[in-house]
Amino acid sequence: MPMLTVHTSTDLFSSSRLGHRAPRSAKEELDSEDVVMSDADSAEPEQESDDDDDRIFSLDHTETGDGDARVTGVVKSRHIVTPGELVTAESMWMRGHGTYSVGLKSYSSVAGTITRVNKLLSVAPLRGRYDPKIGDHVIGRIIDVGTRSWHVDIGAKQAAVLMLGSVNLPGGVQRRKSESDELQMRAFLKEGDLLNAEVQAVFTDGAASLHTRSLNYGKLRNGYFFTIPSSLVVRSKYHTFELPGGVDLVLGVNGYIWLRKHTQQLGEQGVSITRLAEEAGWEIYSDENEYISPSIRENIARYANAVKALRYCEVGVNEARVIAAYEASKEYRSPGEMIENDVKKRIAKHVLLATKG
Amino acid sequence: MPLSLAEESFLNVSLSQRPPCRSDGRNQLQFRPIDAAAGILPTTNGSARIRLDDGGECIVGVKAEVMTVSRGSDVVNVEVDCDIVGLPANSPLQNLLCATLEMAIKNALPSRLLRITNKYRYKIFVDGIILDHVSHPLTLFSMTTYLALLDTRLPRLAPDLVGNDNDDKDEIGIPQFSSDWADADRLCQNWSPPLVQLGIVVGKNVFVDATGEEAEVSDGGLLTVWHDGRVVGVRVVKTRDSSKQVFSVSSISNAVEVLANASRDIEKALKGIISY
Repeated sequence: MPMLTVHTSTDLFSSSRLGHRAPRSAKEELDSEDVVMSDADSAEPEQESDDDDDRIFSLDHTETGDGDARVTGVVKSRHIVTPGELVTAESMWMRGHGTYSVGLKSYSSVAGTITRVNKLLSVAPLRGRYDPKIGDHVIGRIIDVGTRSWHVDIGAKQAAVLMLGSVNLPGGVQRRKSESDELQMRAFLKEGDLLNAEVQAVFTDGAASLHTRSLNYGKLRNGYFFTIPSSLVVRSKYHTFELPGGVDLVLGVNGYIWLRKHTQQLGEQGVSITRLAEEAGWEIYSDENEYISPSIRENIARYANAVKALRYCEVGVNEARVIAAYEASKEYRSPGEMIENDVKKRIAKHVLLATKG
Repeated sequence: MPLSLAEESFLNVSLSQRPPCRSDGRNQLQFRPIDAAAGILPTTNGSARIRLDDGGECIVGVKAEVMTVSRGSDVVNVEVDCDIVGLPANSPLQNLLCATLEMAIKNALPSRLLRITNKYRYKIFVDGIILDHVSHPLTLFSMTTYLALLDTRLPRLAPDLVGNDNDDKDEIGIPQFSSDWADADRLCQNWSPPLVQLGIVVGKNVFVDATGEEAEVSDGGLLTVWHDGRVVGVRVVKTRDSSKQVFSVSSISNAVEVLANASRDIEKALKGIISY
């Protein structure tokens, strides 16, 4: 069995010191792809390696010391590893999340993809709880009303905190929070209420602090809630979409999803910041739904099933794919037909073809 | 986790309008796909496992034990027990499941099927475990029990005893069973077990295979016991804290009709799994 040699650490050191980590051309990218492919099936003899930064991880597993490598080959930085799999045998790398080390070698502690930032190697898990990042648009459910703050379930390891000072209160954005506000916090948000918010800060222990200081955020109504794994949500600039069929989709980065009847949101009316004060009345904390027609309700069910079909097939969810899945689902007269597993697969296949490129 | 008021009202209006619109678009009689297998436990007389689409899973094993009975006694000995993972023993839900199934099977099972000799009878133990449930586990447990009973085989007597209708032997002899396991009779050769079906009632509509959130906004639940092509029992079940306990006659008769249709379909589907 031919053993493939890889970069020695001195090679890597010199290349990084000399600043050879510049973006590569597409040609080189393709070349390295070829090398990896041929490595994988071990059909080709060793190819002469050049200074290619993608070939940084060695999977030479020579723990037995007899030179008979059980795993040979060079992997790209987007390599999938399983728990206990060797990530690198080189000691020069800094070990990040999702890794552990025995001696000089680093192993993966989760199933996921290797990600690299300069010299920091970490493994991003494929599954697991949502890990809040500043600026994420999330959906949460109030689980507790505390003193001057709410605790919000956002599917993370810890409940997020929503401070009384971080919400819009009726009567104006810049209004001071008084003691009477503290006493009637349940009138704004109570246990079980759903809201969308932005992650304002992440504490050192991983807990998030939220804010709803925009009219795009706040209590949710007129719709239906369900969840998908947060790893399936594709991050984008916006996470609120107006979809065909009179339905709005709020796709929380944490995998919580809200589908609602499309209504003119306060923020979309183009009110000036001074008028905003008057507009933001008590209705932003209303629990009453508007009239929702049966056809809109059916569309909401159809969209929910479309997203669930993507979830079933482990396809990442973004606006284009949701719309494509909705269009594909029109083949089925009743959205109820979409709960069958082969229909889900067919829809997901259609979506991947339709949104390619 | 409680629903928000807006969610609750959305679901409630969707379900009570006519025609209703369920949150996953199913019609009132439509089940979510299930994954069922029979005969999975080698040390039981019959067993089954059913997994639901939402992650609910139930395993049931049926064991038969030989008991002595006094002559002429017609008691059907059946004991149903189930564990619900995550709930303490003797929780109301567990009691509901066990009591309903036990009563249903006792009423439906003719005592001649359990007879070995005049002195010996089988006692049937139905033991289930509900590994996970998101929606109400009653239908899940009942379907799995049904499948396990369909799968149940009872050993035949050893050949020297068969055909020899000697009463003396019956009186004294401890029954000798055939050592060949293939030489066994199905319990359900010409009998079918009862099937319990839970429907939730929202306004004038009844739904089968309700999801957890649908049960959360329902007026109440109604279970029917289906046996031999007809509904033989009805009971009102609490589906949430503020669940209604009283229904009008018309809504009950409507619900019974809907659940009977669902039971007929389910029975057909489950019987298709076991190949005779």
